[in-house]
Amino acid sequence: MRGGDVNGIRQAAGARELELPVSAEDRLVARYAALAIAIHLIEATLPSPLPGIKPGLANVVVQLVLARHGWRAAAWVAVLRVLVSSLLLGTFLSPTFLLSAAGAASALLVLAPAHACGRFGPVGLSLLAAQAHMAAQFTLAYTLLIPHAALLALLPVLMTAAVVTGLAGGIISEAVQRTATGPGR
Amino acid sequence: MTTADRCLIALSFAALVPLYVQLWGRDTQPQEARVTVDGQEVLRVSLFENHRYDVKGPAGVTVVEVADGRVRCVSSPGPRHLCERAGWLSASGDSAVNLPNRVSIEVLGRDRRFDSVSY
Repeated sequence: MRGGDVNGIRQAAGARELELPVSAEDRLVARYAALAIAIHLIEATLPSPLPGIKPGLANVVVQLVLARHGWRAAAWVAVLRVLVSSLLLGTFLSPTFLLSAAGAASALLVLAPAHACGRFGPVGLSLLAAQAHMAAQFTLAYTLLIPHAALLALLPVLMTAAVVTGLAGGIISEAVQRTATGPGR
Repeated sequence: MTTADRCLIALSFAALVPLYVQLWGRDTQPQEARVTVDGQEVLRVSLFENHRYDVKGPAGVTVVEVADGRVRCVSSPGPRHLCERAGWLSASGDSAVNLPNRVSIEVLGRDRRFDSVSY
């Protein structure tokens, strides 16, 4: 913190300047979030065989943060990723955003105990997160957006996709965590 | 990869099997058709009893025919005969509508092929 700061608020000559203190963790989270957002945006341009299915590679970043910096930082990255990506894609508060947010929130809820128990590696964590993400997304879509029995026919395909993408993401996560040095390191 | 990871992978794939069996295994052949006038259901017919039904609406009579698991609109008072042109309806979710007479015919089933159809 610079000299003259009082609780992060600095009085400049004439104009009042507000400066929020930025911790090292904030910078770390911001860097990882930027990476996750970039991946999310690239993925958003890829065509999808079915609505609701995408590789979810942005979650590799979340897994990386989870392994290196714990659940709190991972939650920050995931929340920022969903929020900022939706603003950039113009889907903020749209059904797409709600689905994305519900999925991310549910994945984080599952990751907290799964990570804390320490038995799962990146593959297991990624798989759990992907399934939780899809389950929450589907539940929301079914109860709120399209409450029609026909949607149930999609569930097996969607869950299969979640298992496959979760597994793939986990394998990538494991490889990345073994080899790469992240931003801020 | 830890032991827990391996167990989880096996469990995840195993859990998909009952999901497919439950949601895809059941018979999806439509059984019934519903006829509504002005949004009110006036007739629910089995698709396996061949019969003709006269449905009265505000513009006249719409004749609905059921034959061999299918249903169609035989005649209706609409000027463009869109109801008749929909032809035989056999898949779940198929529908024919006669707007002047406010009659709609819809094949009912657990799974619908379409969420909605617009002309």
